[in-house]
Amino acid sequence: MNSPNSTKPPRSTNLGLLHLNLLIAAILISTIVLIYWASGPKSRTVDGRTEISYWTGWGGRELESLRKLIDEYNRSQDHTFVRWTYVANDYNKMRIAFAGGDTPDVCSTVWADDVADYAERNAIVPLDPYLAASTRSLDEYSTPVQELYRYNNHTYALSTGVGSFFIMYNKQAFREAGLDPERPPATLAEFDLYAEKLTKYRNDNPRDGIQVLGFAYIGQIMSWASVWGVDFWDPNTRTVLVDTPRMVEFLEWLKTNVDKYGYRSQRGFLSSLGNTVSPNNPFLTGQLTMIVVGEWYKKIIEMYAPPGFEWGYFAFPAPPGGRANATILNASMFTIPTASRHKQEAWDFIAWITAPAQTIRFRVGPLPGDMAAASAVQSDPGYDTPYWRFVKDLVNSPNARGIKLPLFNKFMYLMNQVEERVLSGEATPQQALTHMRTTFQSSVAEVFRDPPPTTTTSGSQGVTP
Amino acid sequence: MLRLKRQSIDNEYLTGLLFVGPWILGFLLWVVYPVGSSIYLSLCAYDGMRPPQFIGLQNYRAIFADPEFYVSLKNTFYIILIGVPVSLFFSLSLAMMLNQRRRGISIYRTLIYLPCLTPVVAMSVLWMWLFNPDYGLINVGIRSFNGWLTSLGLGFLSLPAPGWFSDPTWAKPALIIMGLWGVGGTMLIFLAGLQDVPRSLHEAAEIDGAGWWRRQVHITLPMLSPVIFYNGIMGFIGGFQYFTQAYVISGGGGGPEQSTLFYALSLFNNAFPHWRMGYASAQAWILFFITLVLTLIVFRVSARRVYYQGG
Amino acid sequence: MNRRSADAIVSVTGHASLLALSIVFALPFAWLVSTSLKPPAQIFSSSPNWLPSPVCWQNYVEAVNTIPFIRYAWNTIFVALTSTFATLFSCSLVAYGFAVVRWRWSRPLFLVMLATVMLPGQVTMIPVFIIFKNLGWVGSYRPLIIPAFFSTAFFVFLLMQFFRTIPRDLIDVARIDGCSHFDIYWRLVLPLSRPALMVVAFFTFTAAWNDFLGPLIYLNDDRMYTLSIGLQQFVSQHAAEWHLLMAASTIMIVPVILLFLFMQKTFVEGIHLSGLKA
Repeated sequence: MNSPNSTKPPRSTNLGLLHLNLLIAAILISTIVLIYWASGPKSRTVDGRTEISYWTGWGGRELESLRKLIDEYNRSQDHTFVRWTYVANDYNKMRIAFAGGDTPDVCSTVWADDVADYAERNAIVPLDPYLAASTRSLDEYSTPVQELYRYNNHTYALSTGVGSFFIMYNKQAFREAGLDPERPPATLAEFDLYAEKLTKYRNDNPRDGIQVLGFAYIGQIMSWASVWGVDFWDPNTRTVLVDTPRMVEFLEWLKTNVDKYGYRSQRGFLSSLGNTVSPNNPFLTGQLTMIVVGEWYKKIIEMYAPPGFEWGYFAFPAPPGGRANATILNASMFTIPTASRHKQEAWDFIAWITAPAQTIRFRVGPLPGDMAAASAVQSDPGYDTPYWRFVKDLVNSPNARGIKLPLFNKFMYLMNQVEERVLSGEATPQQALTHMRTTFQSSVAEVFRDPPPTTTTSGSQGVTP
Repeated sequence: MLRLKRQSIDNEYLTGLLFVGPWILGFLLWVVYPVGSSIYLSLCAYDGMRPPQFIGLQNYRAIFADPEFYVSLKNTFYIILIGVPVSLFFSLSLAMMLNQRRRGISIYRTLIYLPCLTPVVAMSVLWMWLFNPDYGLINVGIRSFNGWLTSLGLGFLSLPAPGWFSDPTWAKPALIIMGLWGVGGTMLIFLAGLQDVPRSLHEAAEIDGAGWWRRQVHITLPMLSPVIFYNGIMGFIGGFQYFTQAYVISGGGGGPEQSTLFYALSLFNNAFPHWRMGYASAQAWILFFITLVLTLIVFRVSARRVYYQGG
Repeated sequence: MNRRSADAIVSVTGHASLLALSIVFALPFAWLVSTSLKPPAQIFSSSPNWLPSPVCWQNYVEAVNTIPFIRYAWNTIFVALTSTFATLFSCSLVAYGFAVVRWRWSRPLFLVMLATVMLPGQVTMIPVFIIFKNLGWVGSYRPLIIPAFFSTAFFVFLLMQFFRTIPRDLIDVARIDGCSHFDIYWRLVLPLSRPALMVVAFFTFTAAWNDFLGPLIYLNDDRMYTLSIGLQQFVSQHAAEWHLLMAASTIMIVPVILLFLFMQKTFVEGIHLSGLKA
């Protein structure tokens, strides 16, 4: 390398430098191009088949069995190749992906209560035409499950499983508190009394903090509200329905029960607890005696419960005038984003993976861990145990329903705020609800771009053309 | 030389443009165009999926009618008016203590500096655990300290052991305490400033009989005022960007009871998870005006109080 | 009390308080490492036990197995290194253009650049997101890297401060000798500015390593996550599994601290020389 030297004539120096500069510039530019190329979207392999991208939120063992099914699907035909991607099923993350237009051809990362919002904004497509042209039919599902898939007289999703909520309790703790472990509370009043009897304080002194909490009333506002018989949304008038005397009554009940143990100290206690999916699970360590769970909780108990742990379960007890056997249904929904480039192939995959034959292998297996959505699969012998019969009854109960309202995300956010404001004493139930209604109505107004639907067929099981 | 200068001003027009080119392009792409389109979006209902729909000033009206706006402003000002001065005072005190010639002083400096290198997400996770109401190091420490006091018959001096991040009154103080741990960057800048204060000034004052404390108040602080001002402005700008800690610790919700719902978090929540990008753009413009007005005030006030060495 | 003994007291208390302070600052790290090595059964105990027994290296294995932290670390290094390269390259060019080259619009454009520092990032966040969306770049690393090629006002300013300390005569002589500005930039200014460039590199690298908002809105595929977003997802899935969370946090913290310790000397020198302090 010739360095600039005063003895050399300047011209040749400059020429040497010029060549070197060109080389440096070329290296810099090629580095930039390389970075641009390497940072781009992942390249896709092409093997002559139509490749569709599928996003799943299932992890761990469920992802394992899902992967096996997808491999099988890819082998079973030579038209479509499904490329799966795990997307951590964080509520926020999925919505950001849709806003960014980074959507796959098909996904199961949409929760049932979010379907209305996606549908109202045309972010996902109705499945009715595909359903009508296929061998699949909504009749494979019970009415509450069918309703879960539908919004505004269209079917937007199918699922393999269906989730529900109920209460589990620790039998040993019942015994120690002098309660009959074989007889769970039958009425709401009895339930509240049990919760009180099961709560213990450090050194038997409420000031030293909670040691065992009979039941955590905090953070379950939607489940309890629907047990109390509250409806959330009227699709015909497009108004939120929570600002009602019944809701006030419900919130007063909630506050009375939370106040028994102190709102703040309960929150501190709850935030100290260990993770559900671990041996430090607070229900299994005895820190919580009765808890709200989903049907999948049985798996957790089987994995982490200490030897001799005895547990029972019951549906949310309803107050007078409330709904018996009520539960909120939810599921991971197979949907097709509007931006999907291969909708027919996406549908074919949905039709295959949610079909009873696959559901049995995916959701039931040798020992069911979840409740299958299709009625045919629900009568599988694997589900013929007291626990699964209970779950089946709950899922098919007339008071089991999904939540369907646009801007559910904001709605939930505001409902949690109502709970916090009422329980902390910052606002009366009426004040909190009035505020919630005004805020939500003004936010939700911008979701709709067309006039309200006519009031004729809403809510019925519309037949697809 | 003078000729060269004039000549180059005429000739190097293109060269200058070429060198500065990346910034000019970036300015057009990431500032001019976005600012323009952000003004338009702030007048629209826009969810990122359907085309924006012009709705005039409705977003602005809705923001001013929304109590959440005032809550998020209040929380942000809490950080700026309490957190920033506390952290300035703390980091300046640290810098003064570390501004000594002493054996092993560089080890102390490194130890106190290191925490600020902790990535914010990791820092938040660590402090969630330290602040755990029942099993966290801090409350366990406070409880055993209280036990010790009680055994001495001084139980009335007991410190509270609150729920920290689960308690709305203590969530922001907990965030500020966490911030103090990561104050090393500010401390380092103060330290550099302190080392520029001429020793001769201190020595002269010492001969005149001024004690340590008076020397700090009358020499160090005035000489350091530009650095304090710089750090103050940085803290002030940082206060409006306060996001990651609150997002990780509250899981995005800004809880408990909206006590960690800061302006940037509220804006993010509206823009992305709630799909209200028009509304969030309007929020951004309101933020811009607030910072603009406050910056002008701060500059005007400080013009009289900040001393610049050598003019 | 005379002044001499007062000074002595200040000196002794100074040493003691420095030691106490350093311990206070080191305690969280000690607790972090201690928890990360504890068996799960030992986590929830109401008296602090600092020594894990038995020492559970298994926690690190489990953390790395449940979430691919090694892959995340590589992704993060890729983003951090490339954006550091991009920032160094673009900022030094622009700083040279403003600080060394003399041309007509230099001053007004520089003032415009300074003014942009005051613009809150939130104002441009949404439109920039939409730009990347329209380019089809959401879901790739490009939104995290490419903007760095267009320079950052703060670092340009920092480098300018440094470039200005290079004697002007040196540059003018090189010009008369017939060197182009690119020669001077590449062979004179850049080598002389190594400490300042190191500071910028360190800041850019740690900023990219720590960045959370960017990966949060631009990365969706789990395999492309960086450490920040990976750790946050880990928190939401493994909340309260403190032994794992602490192990994962340690994995994220240690590289930055090591990097700092390795370049500490250059770094401190650079901070001082670049006039960052004012």
